Amino acid sequence: MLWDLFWTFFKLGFVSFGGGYAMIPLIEHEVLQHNWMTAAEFTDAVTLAGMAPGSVAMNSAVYIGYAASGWIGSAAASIGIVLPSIILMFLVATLFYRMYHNHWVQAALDGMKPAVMALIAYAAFNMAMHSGLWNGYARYTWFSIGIFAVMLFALIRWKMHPIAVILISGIAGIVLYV
Amino acid sequence: MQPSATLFNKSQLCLQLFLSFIKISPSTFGGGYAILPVIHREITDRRGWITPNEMHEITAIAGATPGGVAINIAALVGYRIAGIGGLLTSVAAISLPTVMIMLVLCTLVAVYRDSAVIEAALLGIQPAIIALIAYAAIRMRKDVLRSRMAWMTFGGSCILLLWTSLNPLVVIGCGMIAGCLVHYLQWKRAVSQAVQPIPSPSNPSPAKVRDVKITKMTS
Repeated sequence: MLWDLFWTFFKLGFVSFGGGYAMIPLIEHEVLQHNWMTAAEFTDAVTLAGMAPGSVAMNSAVYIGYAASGWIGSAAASIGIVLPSIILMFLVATLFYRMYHNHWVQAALDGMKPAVMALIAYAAFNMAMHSGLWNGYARYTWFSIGIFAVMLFALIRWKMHPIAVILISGIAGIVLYV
Repeated sequence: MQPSATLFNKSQLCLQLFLSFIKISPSTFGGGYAILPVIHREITDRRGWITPNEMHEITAIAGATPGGVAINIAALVGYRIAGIGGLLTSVAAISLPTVMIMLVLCTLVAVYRDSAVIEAALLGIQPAIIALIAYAAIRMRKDVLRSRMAWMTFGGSCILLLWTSLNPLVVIGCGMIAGCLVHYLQWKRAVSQAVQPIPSPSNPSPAKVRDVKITKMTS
């Protein structure tokens, strides 16, 4: 189990282009295949991972590891996801520092960017579907859509800080649902 | 890239690296590029470890390699300052605080799961997180969706993700192949355009052909 956690996140670490949010669909794919969580539980994991500081991929690894087998699981998963970064960065710093000016590498990276963007958009869409936004009871659905719309507007128009967004929506949740 | 420290002051540098990155770590809210100004201020302005120019190069490389941007930057800066020891120290320093915070959060949620207030707050935060993720995609739009091909790759990726159950990894791979393909076609067109406007045999300039080819490849 621990080895499984480590190995899964180790593999993911090597392909986590675009860091953070673009990783969510990849992690979800693995988590569902291993039966570590249901899709709804994974939504909770992303919520918590997004609330905390640091990379979302790393935070999800910590949470999933914790849910699967406690603190040791967290350690296994987070070491698994950070080790590829260490290996790759060491290789880049020692061997491939100049490789990034190669035009084929640049072309591949340019082509990858829209795909990464699609992954991020898909992560948002998927989370909305699995959180029961559309098939929950009416009051919850409308409140959720309202919070989503207001926060998105605040982010785009006023460049509101993510901490403020999370605090305000948390308070809104308490006011609306308690 | 060569580490610039001697063995003499290495351990002291590692300690300084550790302190710097452990301080930066909790401010990486929303992940990724939000941390850049903080890192730049600490590493180039305050500590003066790395020139702004080199820092921009490191940032570009860190963004292009797999893994979190913040972790990658920390690793490269650490290696530059104090070699492999510096790399390991910096990565540990930038990940430990956030892992700890996340663990505390996990334990708290496990304990207070049944509390109505916590449940309500989390229900409210959930759509906000979706908004944050959506915003990250929207923010990328300006830099990424500049050409028709980028739009097509984006659309194709969305279709693959929504209507097939392929491993999302395939989508990234397809994007890379598309990027290389476009690059190859552009290069080919540049070559043929350079060849075509020379119908007269009086002016067969092979040098011109080679010129265009080279400028197109490096641009």
